[in-house]
Amino acid sequence: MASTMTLIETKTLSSSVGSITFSSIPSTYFDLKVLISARMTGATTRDNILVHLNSDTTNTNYLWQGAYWYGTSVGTNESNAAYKIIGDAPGSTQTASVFSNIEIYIPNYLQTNEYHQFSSESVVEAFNTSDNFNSFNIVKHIGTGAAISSLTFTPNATGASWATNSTFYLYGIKNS
Amino acid sequence: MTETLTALEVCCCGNCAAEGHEKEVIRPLTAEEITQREADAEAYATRKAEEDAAAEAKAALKASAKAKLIAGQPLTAEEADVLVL
Repeated sequence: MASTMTLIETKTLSSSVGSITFSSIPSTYFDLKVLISARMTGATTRDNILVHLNSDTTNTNYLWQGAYWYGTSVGTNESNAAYKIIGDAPGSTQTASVFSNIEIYIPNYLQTNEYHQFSSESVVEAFNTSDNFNSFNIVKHIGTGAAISSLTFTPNATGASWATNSTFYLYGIKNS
Repeated sequence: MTETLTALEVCCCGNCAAEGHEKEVIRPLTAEEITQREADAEAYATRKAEEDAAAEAKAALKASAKAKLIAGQPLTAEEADVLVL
């Protein structure tokens, strides 16, 4: 059981950027946790947040399973390519000031002999029944078997950037 | 005017000054990164359209099955499947 959680890095955007990467992640922890409060600039009410490990953008190296709830609908889905989803964020047509909340837990990020798999919970509280969107996601990376040294988060909407005031936190967790 | 997409890279090494590199770098996305993003968005849109079409088809089958049950008419195999599977 983790006994310490250390804030490695935090970034609140003062201007919009197309993606954010935490690089050179220290190898002094057991697990990683990422918290995101985000909004995107794309003309959409909501779209996915994608994750890339170690700058690997090869779609077939990622598997995803998700369960989601929006409006009065529920669903599950899975994909062995293209989807690298760890949550959702509101876009520019969503109610002003609405940001999503995402929590990602990445266990054993230093291991090199197995695939990396991790989970996330995501909430878009849009203050209206039809646009509220909550999801639970599991991503599996079947890449090169390297320790995770960088994490990149990208809004999926075409041409979208992370909006100003989006905030990203990276924590390191260990049991001592 | 089209927004120039940028990438923000935040170094977490904790020793940037001593190692002589910037803690944060903002750069334009490369052509490869832009192509990747467009492919991701297109793949998502395709998949979403398929999901929406499947959901609509299932809802139509359920509605048809319900109407036939109420009217005492025989169901098709597809209509029966959406009720029992």
